[in-house]
Amino acid sequence: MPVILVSSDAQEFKVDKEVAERSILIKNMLEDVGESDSPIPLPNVTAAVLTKVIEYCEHHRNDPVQVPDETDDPRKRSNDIEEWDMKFMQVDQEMLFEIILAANYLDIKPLLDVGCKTVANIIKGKTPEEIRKAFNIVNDFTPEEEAQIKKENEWAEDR
Amino acid sequence: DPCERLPTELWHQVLAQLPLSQAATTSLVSKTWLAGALAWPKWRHLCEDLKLGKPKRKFRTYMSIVCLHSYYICDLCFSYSTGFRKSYGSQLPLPVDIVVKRLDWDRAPEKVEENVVKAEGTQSAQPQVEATEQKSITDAVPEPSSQPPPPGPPTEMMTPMAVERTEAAS
Repeated sequence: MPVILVSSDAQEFKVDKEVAERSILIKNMLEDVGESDSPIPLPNVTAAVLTKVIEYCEHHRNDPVQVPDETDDPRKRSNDIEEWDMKFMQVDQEMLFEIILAANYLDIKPLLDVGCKTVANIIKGKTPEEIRKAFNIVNDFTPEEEAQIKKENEWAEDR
Repeated sequence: DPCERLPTELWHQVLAQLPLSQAATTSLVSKTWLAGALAWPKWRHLCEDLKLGKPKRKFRTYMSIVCLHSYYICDLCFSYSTGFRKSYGSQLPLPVDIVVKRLDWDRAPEKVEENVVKAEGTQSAQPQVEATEQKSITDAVPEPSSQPPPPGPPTEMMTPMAVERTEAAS
């Protein structure tokens, strides 16, 4: 049975229940409402973003439901993004942030993870100056402040 | 700017994906990023788990304490390890050069060198090295909880606020 999702700009999306239920928010909503074919409004998600999110959910429709692993091995973290997900995340930064926010709102944990990892991968291995460049950030520290922070929070290198 | 765009909680999920050293580096990007990095609860948790003490005068934030101890903290798995602690008290005779190498890090290069020479010269290496071990460990890593931090030269210890004040005065 398909579910109708309505984006913030009033565009309707018809998706399989199975796909829509990748979002825990929608899953809970559907459970609360019971059998009903009334459209589900998603006031926090625009059509452009919702299209992307649905694309993700379609691709991952058959994934086993993730067991939340709080004990995640930190050594396993980082670059382990699936190839498809990596391609999927090749969007402009604004869209990337929108996807992260939508994944958080819709409660799609794996998508949120992939989004955060993608941002982390942009930051990884860069100097502060390179990070500023990557995100178009203006350095608003005075040289004195910068020196002070550097001094206080220096990481011992060459382990 | 992801740090401005994302709510703090999500920003901290991004930081959690980075090696600790890199998470600390983000504090230098801008004021927003500094605030985001300082607010990361991980620093406090690390200080508590590894018993590194609480922020005091010199090291005013949990992040700075973690960075102070960064030489001993694994960048990826966050465990605290010193080659030193494991060998300390062990009955196994360690080759002198290995013990010295473990202590040989940039903050106390002269001392270590001096001891290598002595150790080679006198043949009574073991007790001396042990003494150096204790000395250099306290030198290098002042425990914020047990020792009051030495009052440094004022110019070096100036907080950003103090900097602003002197600027205003001049």
